[in-house]
Amino acid sequence: MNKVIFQERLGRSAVWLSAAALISSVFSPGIFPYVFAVFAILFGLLSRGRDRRYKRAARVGLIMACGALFINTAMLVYSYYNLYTILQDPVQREQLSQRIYEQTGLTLDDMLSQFRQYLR
Amino acid sequence: MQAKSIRDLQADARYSLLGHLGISVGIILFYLAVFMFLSSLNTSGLTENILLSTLLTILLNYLVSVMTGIVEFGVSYVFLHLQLEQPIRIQEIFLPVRENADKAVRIKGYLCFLYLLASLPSLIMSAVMNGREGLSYWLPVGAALAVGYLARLFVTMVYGVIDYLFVDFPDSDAAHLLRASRRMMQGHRLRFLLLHLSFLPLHLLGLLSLGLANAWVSAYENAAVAAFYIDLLRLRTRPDEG
Repeated sequence: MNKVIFQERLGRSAVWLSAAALISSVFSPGIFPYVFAVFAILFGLLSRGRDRRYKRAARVGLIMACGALFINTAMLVYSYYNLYTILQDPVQREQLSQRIYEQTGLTLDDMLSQFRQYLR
Repeated sequence: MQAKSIRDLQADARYSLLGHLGISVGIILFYLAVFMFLSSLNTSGLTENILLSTLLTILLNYLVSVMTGIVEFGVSYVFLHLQLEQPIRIQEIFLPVRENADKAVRIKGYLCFLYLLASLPSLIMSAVMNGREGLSYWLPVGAALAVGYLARLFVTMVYGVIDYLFVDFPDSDAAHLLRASRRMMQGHRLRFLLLHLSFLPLHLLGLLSLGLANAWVSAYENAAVAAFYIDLLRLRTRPDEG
């Protein structure tokens, strides 16, 4: 089969994966956006073959994947900063602990001590 | 005739992988599965004697290295054939090893012995420094580890294309192949090292995917090393040499 067909397939795969990374980075930031984005970047890079320039689809996929990486990282940093701020404020910490207890039966301190034990 | 640049080698690697990502990643995953299975074997509980247990561990690690090294010949077969745009038949991937098993074991046995020698300083230092803590332990052991790592890196740079030579020249004997690898790599060791280092950013990026994408990066890297080998052959058979 013609190599150009495989280049186009890889480029299209990069676009779809980067779209999945973008969407998941907005609605569900975490590990999956990173996985999708890294594969999008890789497929976009590999689609170049011996060409000097990337095909359009690969370029779009690479740009979107880099955007997804940035957005996901920003969302994670913002989430952890929010959590840190809440944990520092006694009133908000108590409210969070109450919410967690209503859902899981465990207080925030119980969960944190279990987490520390797991890390050890 | 000039040697190809790192970019050209990477371009050749990408070109060879087009349409063949399945088999190239598949052989990498097979190699990883064999490596993980063999690495899970251990000698703990066989004996209470510390010295004997250490020697058994070293011996087992050596045997595991040789066995996984033999699987590397299959990996090299796939990427060399991709580079030469030759068809790959699954049943032929380990044919060179099956037909020349003794030579394969000799080559890998010799290389793994060199790697073992390279790791001896750190093993001896950690045994001598046993009982110490903090910097007084880690400083000398860390230095010994660094020396061992550099020695191992040098061995890899000297014998970097031995796997491809074994697959490409099945009729040559082990000593001849090892000599040929040393000769071919003269003047190209730094380029070989830089080629591997050029994939470091992709490997680090692959960590974000929990290591899943590293199989694809390894396939890309192996394809580049195969392109490097082909380039070395091209340089050694240039017209003015006859």
